Amino acid sequence: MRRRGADWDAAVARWRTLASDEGATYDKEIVIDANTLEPMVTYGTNPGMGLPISGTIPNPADESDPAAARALTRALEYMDLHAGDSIIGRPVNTVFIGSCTNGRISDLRLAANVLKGQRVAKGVRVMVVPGSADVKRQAEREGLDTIFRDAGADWREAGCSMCIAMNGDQLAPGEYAISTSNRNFEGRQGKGGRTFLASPLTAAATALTGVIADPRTLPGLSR
Amino acid sequence: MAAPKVGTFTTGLVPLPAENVDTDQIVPARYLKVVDKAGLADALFHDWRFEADGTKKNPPFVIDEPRYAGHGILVAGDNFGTGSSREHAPWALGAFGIKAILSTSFADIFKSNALKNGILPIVLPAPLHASLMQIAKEDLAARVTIDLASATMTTPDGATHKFPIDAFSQKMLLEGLDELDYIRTQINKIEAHEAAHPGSINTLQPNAPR
Repeated sequence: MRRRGADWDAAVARWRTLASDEGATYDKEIVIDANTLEPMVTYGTNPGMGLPISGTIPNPADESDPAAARALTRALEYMDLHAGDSIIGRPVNTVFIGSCTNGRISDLRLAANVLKGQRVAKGVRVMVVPGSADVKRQAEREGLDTIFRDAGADWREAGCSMCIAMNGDQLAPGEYAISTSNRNFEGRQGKGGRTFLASPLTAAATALTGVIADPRTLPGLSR
Repeated sequence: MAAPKVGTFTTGLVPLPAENVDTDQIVPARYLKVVDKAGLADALFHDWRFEADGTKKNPPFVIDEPRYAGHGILVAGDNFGTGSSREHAPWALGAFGIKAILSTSFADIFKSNALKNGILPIVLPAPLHASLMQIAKEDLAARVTIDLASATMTTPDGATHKFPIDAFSQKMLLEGLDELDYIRTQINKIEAHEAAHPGSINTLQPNAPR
């Protein structure tokens, strides 16, 4: 994709005129202090079942809504997780870095920065799948493919891969994946497979240890 | 491809009292390569219905219970059809013989896909939904009549209830039209618009001279 030239500059100039007016009011305002955010990981079977990485698995008994309590009970049973367990340190069989959700060039750069000069944990399958053919070419121009291969990860063609598990990229029943895609429904990554959704940084950190790891603890990445 | 046409039908109920049934449960992703809608009946709720070796579970999942055979209305829990966008979900429901789903709410994309495939996603108030769920479980002889033209449902007690459906979907289903059919009914207006419309517009710089 070429993002330059007179048309591009003119378009950007026009788009810049489309900002909200000074003093605009909104129906609802949500303020998020990014300084208080931790990396997020899901523990359940829908994308909303997530927690800060230093947190522990919630207890269905603490849910006031009976339907939510039932859903949580079922999700923990499917995931074979228990209330009160930490999410950090959970072993995974597969690390999937990619998908249209988190397979941008910026995501691959972050993941490559973690894996550079390192080896992925023994026995863990690590797949890196660019979000598009354009991203794949850019990553190869930057030598990211070599970093991933040298670390022991698979460098793959752009595609859906383990996000939807329609090809051979699947979990076996009972296996766990940490995945940068955005769907963690039952069986989504293979019948009986269990998915933790996380960011590319968290997934890359997990690739090195084989258990869910907080990327903020990696040397050179801590703030 | 002929668009589905819906009018009036009377059929039995099947209870599925689970909330947040997502499209990966309705049709697991590995069946999305299927291009023959008819063959999708077996993919419907596949992993809830079949063992790993492909045999039916024993006891069977509710839609396979012989006592519900031929019942065309699924009474499902809240937020039915959540998750991935997947037209195969209504295809599979239709291939199995489901004509309508009663719930307290539906996921938007599923709802739209269902309407375009002749399956009515009917939102009911919670008390009426709860009573029909009970009837579905307890009274196998109970029949419900749905009439799309009047957007009404007649329950086993003889009462008639109006249900919400957007006027456009209702018209399309009653007349058996798909979007292309509909657009073709508007061809005169489209041609008049095109005749009065410039041949090209620079969308990056709408005010630039052409």
